[in-house]
Amino acid sequence: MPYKLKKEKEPPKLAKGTAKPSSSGKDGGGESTEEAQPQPQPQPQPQPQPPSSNKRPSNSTPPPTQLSKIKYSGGPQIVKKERRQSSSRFNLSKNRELQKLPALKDSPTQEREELFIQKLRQCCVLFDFVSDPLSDLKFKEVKRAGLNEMVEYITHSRDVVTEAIYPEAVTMFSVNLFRTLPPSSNPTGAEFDPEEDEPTLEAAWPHLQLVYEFFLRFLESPDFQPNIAKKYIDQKFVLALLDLFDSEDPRERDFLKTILHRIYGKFLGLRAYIRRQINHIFYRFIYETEHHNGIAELLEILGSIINGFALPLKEEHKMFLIRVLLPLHKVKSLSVYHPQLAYCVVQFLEKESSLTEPVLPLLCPGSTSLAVLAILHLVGGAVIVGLLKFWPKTHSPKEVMFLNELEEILDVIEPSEFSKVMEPLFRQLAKCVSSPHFQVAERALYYWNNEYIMSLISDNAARVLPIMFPALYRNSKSHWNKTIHGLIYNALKLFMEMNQKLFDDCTQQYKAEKQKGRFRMKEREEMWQKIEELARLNPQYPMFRAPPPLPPVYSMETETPTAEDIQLLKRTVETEAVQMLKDIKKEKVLLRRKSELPQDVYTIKALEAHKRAEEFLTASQEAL
Amino acid sequence: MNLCPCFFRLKKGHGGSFRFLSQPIFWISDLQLPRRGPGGGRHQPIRVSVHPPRRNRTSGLSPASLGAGRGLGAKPAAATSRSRKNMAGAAGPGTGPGTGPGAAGGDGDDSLYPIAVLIDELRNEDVQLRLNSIKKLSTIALALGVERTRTELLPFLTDTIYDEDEVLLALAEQLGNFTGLVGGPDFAHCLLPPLESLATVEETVVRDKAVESLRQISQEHTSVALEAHFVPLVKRLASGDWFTSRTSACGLFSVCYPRASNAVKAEIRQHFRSLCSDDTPMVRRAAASKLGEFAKVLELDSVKSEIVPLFTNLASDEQDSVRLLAVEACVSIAQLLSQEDLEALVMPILRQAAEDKSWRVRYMVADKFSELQKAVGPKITQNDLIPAFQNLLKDCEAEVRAAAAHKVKELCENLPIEGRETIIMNQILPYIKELVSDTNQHVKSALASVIMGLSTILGKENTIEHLLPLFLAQLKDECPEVRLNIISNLDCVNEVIGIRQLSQSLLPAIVELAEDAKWRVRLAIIEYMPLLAGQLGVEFFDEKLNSLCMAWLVDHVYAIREAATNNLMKLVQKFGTEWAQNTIVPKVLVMANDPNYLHRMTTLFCINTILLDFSALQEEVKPVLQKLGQDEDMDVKYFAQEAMSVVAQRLRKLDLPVKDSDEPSAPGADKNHFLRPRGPGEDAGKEC
Repeated sequence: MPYKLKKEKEPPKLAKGTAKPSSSGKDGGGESTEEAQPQPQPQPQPQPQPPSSNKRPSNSTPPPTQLSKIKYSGGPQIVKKERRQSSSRFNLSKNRELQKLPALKDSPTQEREELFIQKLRQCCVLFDFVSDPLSDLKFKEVKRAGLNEMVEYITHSRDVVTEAIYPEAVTMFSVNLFRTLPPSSNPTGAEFDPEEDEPTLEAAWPHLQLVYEFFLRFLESPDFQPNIAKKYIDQKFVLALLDLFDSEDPRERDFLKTILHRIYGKFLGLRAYIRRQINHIFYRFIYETEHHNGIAELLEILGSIINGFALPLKEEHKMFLIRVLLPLHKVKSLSVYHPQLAYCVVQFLEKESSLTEPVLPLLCPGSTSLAVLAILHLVGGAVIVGLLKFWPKTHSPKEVMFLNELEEILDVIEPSEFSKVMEPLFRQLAKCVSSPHFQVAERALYYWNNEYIMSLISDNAARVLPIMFPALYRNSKSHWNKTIHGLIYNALKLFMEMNQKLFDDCTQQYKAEKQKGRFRMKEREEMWQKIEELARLNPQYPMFRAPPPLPPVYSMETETPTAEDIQLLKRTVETEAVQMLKDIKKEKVLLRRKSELPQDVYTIKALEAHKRAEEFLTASQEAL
Repeated sequence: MNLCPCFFRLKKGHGGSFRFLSQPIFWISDLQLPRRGPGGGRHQPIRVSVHPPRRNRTSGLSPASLGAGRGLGAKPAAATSRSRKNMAGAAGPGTGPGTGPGAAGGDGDDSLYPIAVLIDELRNEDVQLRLNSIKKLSTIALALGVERTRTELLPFLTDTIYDEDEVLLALAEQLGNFTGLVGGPDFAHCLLPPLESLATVEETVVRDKAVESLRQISQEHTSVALEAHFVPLVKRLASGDWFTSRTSACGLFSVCYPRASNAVKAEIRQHFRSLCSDDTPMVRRAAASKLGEFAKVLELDSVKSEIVPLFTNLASDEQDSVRLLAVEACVSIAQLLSQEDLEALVMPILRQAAEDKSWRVRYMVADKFSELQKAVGPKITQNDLIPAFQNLLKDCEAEVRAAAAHKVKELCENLPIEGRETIIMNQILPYIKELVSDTNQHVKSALASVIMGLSTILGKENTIEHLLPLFLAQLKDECPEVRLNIISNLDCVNEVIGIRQLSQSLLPAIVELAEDAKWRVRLAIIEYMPLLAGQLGVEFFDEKLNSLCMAWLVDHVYAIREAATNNLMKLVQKFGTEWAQNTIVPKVLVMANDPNYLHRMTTLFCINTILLDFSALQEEVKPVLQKLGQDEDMDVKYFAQEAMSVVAQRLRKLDLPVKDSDEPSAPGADKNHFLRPRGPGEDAGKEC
């Protein structure tokens, strides 16, 4: 598949990268047209990843969430900020004096189980890391060493996960981890900026890390039997686990992600519940708080879940796409989880490009045509309509993300579906091309370098051209940014080559329209005038005081070329069209820190030191 | 006219299933791409000719034919209604030529003209235009008259609006005031179908607005109509498939309950009960937030038998976001119950909430403390709430402590007068003393914002003995916000013990704030200067604070210089022009010779704001202005010209026999002097 090919050539996606190089210009692009029919995707086999590998070998795994949102810029030297660690502990254990127990490997085999349980119980003692980090140092060390030993023990010994261990291990995990998360140290609500604000690290991490690690090894142990464990790892457990995803510490979320992924894989009975609870978290995030730290991780897990969905997709899963994934595009902090979200959406499309039964309609932007509504039977169409509905109005960086995602979607869309959404789609693209934010205009114009998209356009030129032409023509002169001019001329040239006659017609029509425009404005005013008069005849009129006169709608454009004739335009296009460099600038990093706030070295170092349990989540195959 | 289509559909379309604005369309699986040729409205007789049938492919779908189709009512409704809906719903922005129904007037019947215009406007590509059209909905309704509004406009709206949330929001708002336009209370129920659809959309803002409008309309329903139309709507929403409709339903119970018959009341309660135990946390939250409101309209028996169990369940919900909303409901429920019931039914839960393991719940208890205190009455307050409050004041989360600290004054004020002093002295004050040296600055500044209020409650002696040391400690706090909060509330202490007690400590605190490195802190203290000057008196001011005020005039941040100028104006109002002439004017005028052009401009701004008498203006100010009018710096020159015109104007006024020169006759100049404020950054360039 062209899409896959491309993915392989691309450098690993930066989680934060907003601009994706238009890749289709590359050599592989030629095959796009022929190979456009998405074949049923072979179920990706979970393959062992070399742990140190940073590359995504293909798109069979969701893009991992970046641990550190902020790149350490080495900026102004660091002011040590007041406590950047926190932890919400209500009860510390009363008796915190731990006795060092003998090592497991030194004790006789028959006593090991008992000793193991003792050690697990010992680790249920909680220590204070916040108010007095230096307290109980000796006992803290006992606990740390005990945890360390148990991690080793459970990883390397066989037949140690006996039935008696399950409740103890789960209790130890719950006691240590299930806690109310402390208040966010970062500003909440509208002021919260997930890219800018440094995460607060968990103070008790030296212990928590080992607890997580132990539990993960426990779940992964070859002796682990879900059938026994399900008595202890139940819905309540999962709910508490999901609550922790709001933790500010990325290291903690990273562990949680892997653990939840394992639980999802091993406990078939919990799967539906987990998905439902994740949905609730998303709903709350979208419609109530707009604040949650773990969205990217949750989406990463969902990416692997979607990957394993059985075909045909269940109604529930389609609803999830429409009701959860698409509205997630609406939230302000989209940039934090966009790579994972886009991965999920594209996964859906690759799974099943067309559905036979109608998806329940939830998306209906005002200006869609009948065609769009009709295609809601199709996932690809539904997704595009959804994106158009949530298209950002004022947030330009977000708009660039949408354009990135849209191109990925178009890469896998079927021509039949494309033809159904193209009108609203290109109306939006026309707006993007005219955007005064040059990155938005630039990103939209890069579509013209994607050969698959160009082939789709050229198959439907008669309908696309009349929509795009006015925007291109207007901005060919009036856009403030010179780079855009070049790109626009390039696009116009491609159109011209596509269909000479149509291009001429569009030019003609544009001029005719131009003249009618002003006339129509006047007509509209008269129209409302007339209604106003009719309304005045109504005896009730004085009761409903007419709304204050609305501000007239002015069109923003200034001088536009009107006098030029087609020939002139063509000549200019020929001369000005810059041959777009095939390898358009590599992944521009558009992101920069908005402020020069001092960064906390400790936080950054702590995050860099964190080792992921697993670089990529593998697909969880859906049980049939 | 055929039967109002909305009824028609209400009966048919609601199988209890989720209903969205666009529902009908999607259920037609044979729906295809734009139809050509017959089947559309093209061949129907066109009564309202908006514009001639188009030659392009969408001709069958033109709004003209839609309007005509409806207006005629000649075709069997069942046969055409679907296709009509489709047409309207699908109305894509006109890309082809000829959008406006401009030629409309030509054809005889005008009656449907407005709706045709609306349809056409709603197809426009520009959201702003669509929004404008919806905002003029009442005009359209007036033009149509009540009957046509009911039979034509509302069904059209119900069926065809799928739009940007912004447009939907405007629509939801409009419909709330539409009762008069559909023919008064007897017909208010016609407005329900579109609002019902709007109450189920995804976007919270739209949903909330629709619920608000529904609540408004419910009041206008007759009792009969309420039961016949409104209550069924609430039930439908309450049993909707998706959480959006169920959350919307939660807000509607309390408006329809009081006027319903007993049988219906029981049903309503039943529905509310099931929403309180809904599977979706979003719905439980909505229900919990309306629990108090609903309890208020219920009979006392039902409150005890039904609301209290619901409250108990919600207060022990697995999600803390639900539990904290139960605290809010607690306030309303507590007001309804007798003391014994309160003690038996509500207090255990409240005690539990105050010690909840989630800090959010505890925060909520702290935040609602005054309300709770009023609701449960003095006795329970003393036995239960005071200890709970003590715990909140030493909570392990700073957020909770800060919220509790905010309530200290209110709590003390609301205690019964007798015994108040002892309670405060013995049970509250010790905790407050600890908070003064809290580790968290938000806690300290929350306390500082209310602690001064205690002095009026405790009286002079206690204040001097117990509170004063705290005030002084806070005046020396390392956090500027704490000091500012103390200074800003000086008036309370002033009344009780006089400010002199504090002035020794006050001065260093003020000076330190005045020289703080953060300009926002300096700005804040400047704003309290007039107040302080009033309380400390002119002598103290001249002696200690005057130099500070003058120093601010040459601050390197524009905002500070601006504030300092305004400060001078207020001081002059307080101390009179004579004082100004003696103490301020000389210093200000000296700045006119400053090499820094910014300082020269500050002189000009000061001249503009400070009111002086005739001779001073004539003799001292005018020469300076003339000199500055020749300044080498363009900006200074410009503002000198401006100041000259202001002064000239004032001189003219003062010259007149009318003698009240004290009257602040500021010629609208206060603001305008800063016509061209410069950012601090801008200063730097020129200065060096």
